[in-house]
Amino acid sequence: MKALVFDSGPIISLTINNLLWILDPLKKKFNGEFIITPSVYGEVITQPLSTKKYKLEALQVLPYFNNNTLDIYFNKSIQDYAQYLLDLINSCFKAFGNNIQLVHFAEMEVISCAKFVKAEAIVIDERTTRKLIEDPEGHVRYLERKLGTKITIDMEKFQQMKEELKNLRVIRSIELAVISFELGLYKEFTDAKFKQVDLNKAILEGVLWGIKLNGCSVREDEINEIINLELK
Amino acid sequence: MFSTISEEFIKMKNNKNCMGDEKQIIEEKVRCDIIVVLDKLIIKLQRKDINDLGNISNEIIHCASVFQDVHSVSIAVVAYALYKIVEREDNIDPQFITRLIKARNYLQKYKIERFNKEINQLTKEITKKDRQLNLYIKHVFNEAEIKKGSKIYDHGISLAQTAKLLNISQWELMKYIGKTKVIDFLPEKIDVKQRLQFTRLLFRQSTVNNKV
Repeated sequence: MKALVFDSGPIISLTINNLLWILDPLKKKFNGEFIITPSVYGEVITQPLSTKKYKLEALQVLPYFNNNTLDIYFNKSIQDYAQYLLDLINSCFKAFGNNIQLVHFAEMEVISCAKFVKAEAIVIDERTTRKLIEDPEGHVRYLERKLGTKITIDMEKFQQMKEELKNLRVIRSIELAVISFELGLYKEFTDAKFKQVDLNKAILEGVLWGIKLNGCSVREDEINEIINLELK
Repeated sequence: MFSTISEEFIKMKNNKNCMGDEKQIIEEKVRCDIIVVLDKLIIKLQRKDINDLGNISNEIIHCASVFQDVHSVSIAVVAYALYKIVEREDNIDPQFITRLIKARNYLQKYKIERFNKEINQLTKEITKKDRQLNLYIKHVFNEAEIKKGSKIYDHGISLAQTAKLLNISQWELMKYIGKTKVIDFLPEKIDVKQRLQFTRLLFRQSTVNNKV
């Protein structure tokens, strides 16, 4: 199945920035499925609808399920494999003789689902899961630095984790925003009469900074590099 | 395309593993670290010394990140909330300090249940103390949870796991983290150009063709 599997972060980030609408044209261009898992649905719809905070945001996401822009994908094997990944990763690293519970079932469900549907990539804004996929050794070094202690690695499990996560490709909401810019999706924001600032640059900066400031794991220098690349 | 599901998983699935041995006792390192933090907190509060009071709660974050136990998380949150109250009121109810001392002594004697009761009671008392303050206190506790959550995330724990640990929503946590520098010092193995190139391939964009 040609698909992208979304974690809750990118949905949250796009919603808060009022950019959810880019999913429709992006999906058309992608010509495949945009999938989320039951745990992600719980985080972006069920949980906020049951509280006062972020209820309105959840209501903005809901139509994207009703019109099938986002589809929920679920089966027992995905959940079993997610639990296996959770147990594997959360027993890989020890500090002070204790297994560090690095990741949550919801994040593993995203990976599991992506592998089962043979998705092209997962879309995830949070840093830890992405780093475990792209640079697990780097994340161990980061943990050691942050926790100020040696991390003991169960090498057998670590190798197994790398095996399970290999070939996974990750994109963030920031990349979706850039592609939307390249596709000309922000044309409606332009005003030919408005000459005071370079609107092209302002729109790109506005979108990218909006996404970063709402929690996407992208560095400031990455944003500056993107702006330079896109506007040169 | 992704690799297929590994044989290892199939084996494990057939073997039916089990997880989640919930700890009934407190880890020794957690206990010792909490005692150190409580000692510092009590002295600072007794002296109404606001300097570095806000940072005391961070000293327990290593523990909270590694052990993810309710004790270190609740102490981090309570310590930060007390700091915010002193900062605003320039005063602290002596009863709060008495509770902290009691809690510390129970922990010293390994009386974990009584320690928990004291901390829970303290949290209730802080919240109920003043009707006028009530909304502010609720806000302070919420802020404390999010702030400590961002610290735990900064220590390398995933977003969803951190949110679960503090029982807060990822919506709140993401919004807060975005305003911090948590992300800005993280080395990246894949550069921006590669990421964009891959994303363009997904959307069949060979080159940048259309700006706004």
